[in-house]
Parts: sequence; C-alpha cells; structure tokens
Amino acid sequence: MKKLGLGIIGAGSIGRVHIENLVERIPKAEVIGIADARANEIKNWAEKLGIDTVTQEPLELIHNPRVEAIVISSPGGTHPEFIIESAKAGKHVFCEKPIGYNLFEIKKALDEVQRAGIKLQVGFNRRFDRNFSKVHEFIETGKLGDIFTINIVSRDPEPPSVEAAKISGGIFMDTTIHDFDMARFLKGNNPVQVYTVGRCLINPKYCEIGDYDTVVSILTFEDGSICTIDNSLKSIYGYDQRVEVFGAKGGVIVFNERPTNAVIRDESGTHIDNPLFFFRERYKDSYLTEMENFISCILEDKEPMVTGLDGLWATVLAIASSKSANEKRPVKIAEIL
Amino acid sequence: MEKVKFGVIGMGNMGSLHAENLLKMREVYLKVIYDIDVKKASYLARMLGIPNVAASWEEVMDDPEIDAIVIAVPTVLHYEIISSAIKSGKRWIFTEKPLTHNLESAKELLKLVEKNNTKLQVGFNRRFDHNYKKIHDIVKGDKIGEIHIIRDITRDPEIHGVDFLTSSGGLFYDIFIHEFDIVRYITSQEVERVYAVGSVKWEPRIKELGDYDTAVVLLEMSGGAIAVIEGSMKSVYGYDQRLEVFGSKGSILILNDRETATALTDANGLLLDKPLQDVPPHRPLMHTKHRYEESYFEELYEFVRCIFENKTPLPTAEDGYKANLVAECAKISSKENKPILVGNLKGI
Repeated sequence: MKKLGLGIIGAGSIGRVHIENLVERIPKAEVIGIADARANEIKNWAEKLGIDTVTQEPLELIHNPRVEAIVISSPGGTHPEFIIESAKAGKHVFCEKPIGYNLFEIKKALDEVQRAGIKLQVGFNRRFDRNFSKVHEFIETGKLGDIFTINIVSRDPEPPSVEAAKISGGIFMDTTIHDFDMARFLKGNNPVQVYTVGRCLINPKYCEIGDYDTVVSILTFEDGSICTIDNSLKSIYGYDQRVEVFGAKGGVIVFNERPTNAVIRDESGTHIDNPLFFFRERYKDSYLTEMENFISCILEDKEPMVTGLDGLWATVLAIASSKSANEKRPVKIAEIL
Repeated sequence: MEKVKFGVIGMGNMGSLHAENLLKMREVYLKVIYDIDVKKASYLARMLGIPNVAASWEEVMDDPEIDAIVIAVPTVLHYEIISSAIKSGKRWIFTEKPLTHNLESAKELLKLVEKNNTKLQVGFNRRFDHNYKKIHDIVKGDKIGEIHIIRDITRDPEIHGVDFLTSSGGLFYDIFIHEFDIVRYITSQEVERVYAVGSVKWEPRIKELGDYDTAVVLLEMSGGAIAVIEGSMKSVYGYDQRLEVFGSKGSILILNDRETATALTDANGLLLDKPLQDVPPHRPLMHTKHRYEESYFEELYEFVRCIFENKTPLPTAEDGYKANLVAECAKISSKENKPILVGNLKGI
C-alpha cells in the first residue's frame, strides 16, 4: 500500500491530536517528522510514537524529500509563511485554523498554492462532525426548504489564560472562526454584513488586551437570511455546541453530545450528563475524519472539502466582527475585502 | 366588597378569551361586552351568558356601575379607547399588549395614567406563564449567577391576515413586544441599545406594508447581559416558544410545551408531539388546549386580586411604554441599519 509521507509543523495541543491520529489511526499516512520550537521537550513523546525526526527547523522538514504533505499546526500568525514555503517545495498542505490573521499574507499564500498546484485543506473540522454533516445534508437535499435563520451556540468550558489569548488572535480568530465557517458551510454562501457586540463579563483583563470573553454576532446574507452566533469563553457546565437551522419547510437542531446517555432521577429532578468536556472530546471523530479526507484527496487527486478560500473567508469575518464590536456598528464585508 | 363589575371592549379572539376567563372567576360579574360586530357580540353574549351587549364602547365607559374594563380591540385603536376610559373616570383598566401601536401615543398614555392614578395592567401574559415564571425565579434566586447571554426564539405558527398586520403595529410591536418585556422581566435590567435586522421571507405582501416576517433583534442590557431574539411570523411545525438564560453559574432553558408528552418510536426514529398551539380562533364551547392558556387566566386573576386589595397591578403602563420604546428602537434600527441607544428616544 502506498503511504503518504507527512511532516507536522507545531506539536502543541491540536498538533498532537493530528499526529496521534496520523500515526495510530490512518494506515495510509506515515509521519516522517515533526518541527517544533520545543523539539527537545517532545522528543521522547515522538519516539514513543515511532517518529525519529524531530527538528526545530520547519524548512528542514518541508524540504525533506520523503515528506509529501505538511500539516501546519503552529501559531496562527506563522501559517501563511509556512503555506508559501510548502507550496514552493511542491508539498500539499493541511493548515489548522485560522489560515492567518492578515489578509494580504493569506492572499499571497493562496496565490502561491494556486501557482504550485498543490492541495490545501483548512482545519475546519466541524464540517466533518457527523451531526453538522447531517444538517448540511438536510439543507442540500432541500428537506428544510429555503433557509431563513441559523442559530449557533458555541461556548467553551474554560477560558484561555490572558497570556494565551494574546497569541491566539483573540476570541474571533480563535473561537468564533469555527462558527463563521459553520454559518457559511450551512448557508452555502457568504454573509454581506456582520454586527457584533462584545463584552468582558468573565474577566475584565481580556478587554485590557483588546479582546472580549462574551460575544454575540449577527450575520446577514444577500437573500435576507440571518445567522446568530453566541460565544462565551466560560460555560460552567462544559462545552456547549449547538446548531439550529430554521427554514420554509421546518427546522433542525443539533444538541450537545454527552459522555453517556444515562438519565438519573432523584428527588431533586431528572439529570443527564454535562456535555463532553472540550474540543478534544467533542470533536474527536471529526479531527480524524478531516485528516482521512485530506489524505485521500491527495492520494485520489480530489479537491479538499475545506479550501483556502474558506480559510480566507473565515478570517475576513473575524476581522469584520472584531471591527464591528470595537466600533459598535454593523460592518459590511465589502469594507474588509 | 361585592363582585367587581367588568366590561369587555373588543370580542375578537383575545377579548372572547378574557371574557371566558372572567366568567370563571367568582369574584367577577361580567356585566357587558362590546364589539364593532354587534351580531357577533350578541351571539357571544347568548352563548356565554353575558347579560348586556353595548351599542358603542362609550356606553361601556359611561356606565357608572362598571368598575373595570378589559380592552382587546385592534392595537391601532388602543390609544383612543384607553384614553377615553381614563377620561371617563375608569380607574381599573386591563389592556391587551402592546400598550399602543407607537411611541408617542404610549408616552401620552403614560402621562394620563400617572395624572389620574389609573391602575392599568398591560397583557404581557408570559410573566404569568409557568415556564417563564420559573426562569424568573431561578434567576432571581441567583442560581444562574450574573447573566451573560439570553437567547429567545419566538415563531408563530401562521401569518395573520393582512387586515391584522396593518392594525397590529407590525412584527416588533405585535410579536417581539412580548420578548422585549420578558427579557426586561427576567433580567431585571433595562434595555440600553438595540440593533435589529428584518427580512421578508414568507409573505411578499408584508414588504408592501414596510414590515418584516422574520427578524433578529439584539439587546444590550444595563447589567451587561446581551440578549438575542430571533422571530418568525410562521413556522411549519407549529408555535415555537423557547428561551435560554446563560450566566456565570449555569444556564436555564425553556423547551416547548407539547400537545402531549408522548414519544412515538418507529422505523423513522423518535417523534415528539407538536408544540402546543397559539390561541385558537374563538369557538365557544369548543375548548382546545393552547400554549399560554393558564397565563391568560392568571394575569387577569392577578388584576382582579389587585382590585380587591387596591394594589398596583403588574406589568404596568410604564412596562408597556418601555416595551414600546424597544420596539420603536428595533423599527428604526432595522430601517437605518444601525444600533439605536434607547436613551436617545426617551425624549419623544
């Protein structure tokens, strides 16, 4: 069996999810090496997984002839640069979200991808979640009729430290970015305007660094349909991930997934488990599915389901949303593009 | 005290419903009803056993025996009829929501109410609904902690006729008005800024009226909470009424009350019953259960209780005015595509 050689740039928390999936669950993949700034710290862990090459030099990995595709899971700001280097070397790319923070850099990277003719998939894993896939299928097959409203609830169980928030790009680039993509994925086209209200209700320090911990956004589409998104960085009962779509023929709701479906009854009421704790638990399957999809797109020469343009659009929406919250006014997408 | 003598003005769906509820109360004597359709009023009086049918609404107000009036006429007539009732010396007035169909008239009424010490209750029945009441109590008991986000969904089962749409005050004044009040009630916070997006998705004729059938309204509350309300004039699966309050200590969610609590499982999966319907078209002696049935009785019974105890009934004319203030902001915001500070409109 032909195996695809991969190199991973960035072995932080999401990088490790990808590496473990590639090594343990995707027989068609072979992890050739890892590049990480803290190469020494992860060496032992990598060795246990059977990965010998661990370097501090991403370029070394990109130019390794055994590496056919690169997984970029380094901090968001470095993504465009690594996409460009990979494309120049003719390597396919799986890039974690966001594809970048700066539109100019992202466009440059996408140009390079096109010139090189490589495949690029962006890590919007939720598109591969079986629940949201099913909602998408309902919409695509016309079961809901015309789509009028979409409501997305997306609340994290625990906030990042203020230090981490500084380098993550903030709530819009780090958290809402998934919801922006979900809105586009389900609606099947692009919003024309964003209105966002942001607050610091959990910790005022987020506001001090120009970020928010609680945001509500309204996206409007050309045809008048409307999407609402609410985000909180701290939901005391766990990761709250729900989607609802309402249309001419009916509606569909995705509830949270829970560790068990046991229902406990006692004198205080009827209890069910809290949602699965966080993204690693809740979206476990989708991280695997998106990577399997990426590998098979390369091996079978198919177009990935989440493209560079999807990555660009999500960043555009994050920028528009942040601008709207800061300036307290609706922001037209045309202002950003 | 003897029984309180009531007159009901307007015997459409809501007026008939209120009349039937009054007839159930031992403390009440429903003396007279009025409707522009005299034949209908006479028929209903016969069917329900109400002794008198007035020939005009003035006749009800001028009757010195009448202690309290229920007003359930089309919204555009509220101002005229309520102000006449106050001027003719009626002290106890229960009016259907919204208080009036615009902001200026609401402000005028509020002044009249204050000047005459009128006891006016506005029919925001949700405050008396078991689910919303429970949310209010849970929030009040600090079980949710500081409120961060409120999500409210309101979808009517069917679009009313164009006649109704022109006399109801529109989507924000007629349907969203309930949500504006309930968000104020549940949070005990005032609305500071409003942003609204409206759209016509169901009925093209609504566009000609300058109204919407689908909308989202975002409210920024004085205590920091952000409320997002999504509403539609129609929903193929029935009346959809849900609300969620999310805060620092947890969240509470109202799901729909359903016609029955059954869950049918077959080859297609699990099937829950339809949500309970909205107030059905009035047909005396043909009772069908509906979503807010108990709350309509409870709100009116509270009004009667206040009359006996000479207390100010809630929600007040001021609550009615404040809801109109938000509705007006939503209307302006949706037209001008910008957030509106409620404070900027208070001068009107």
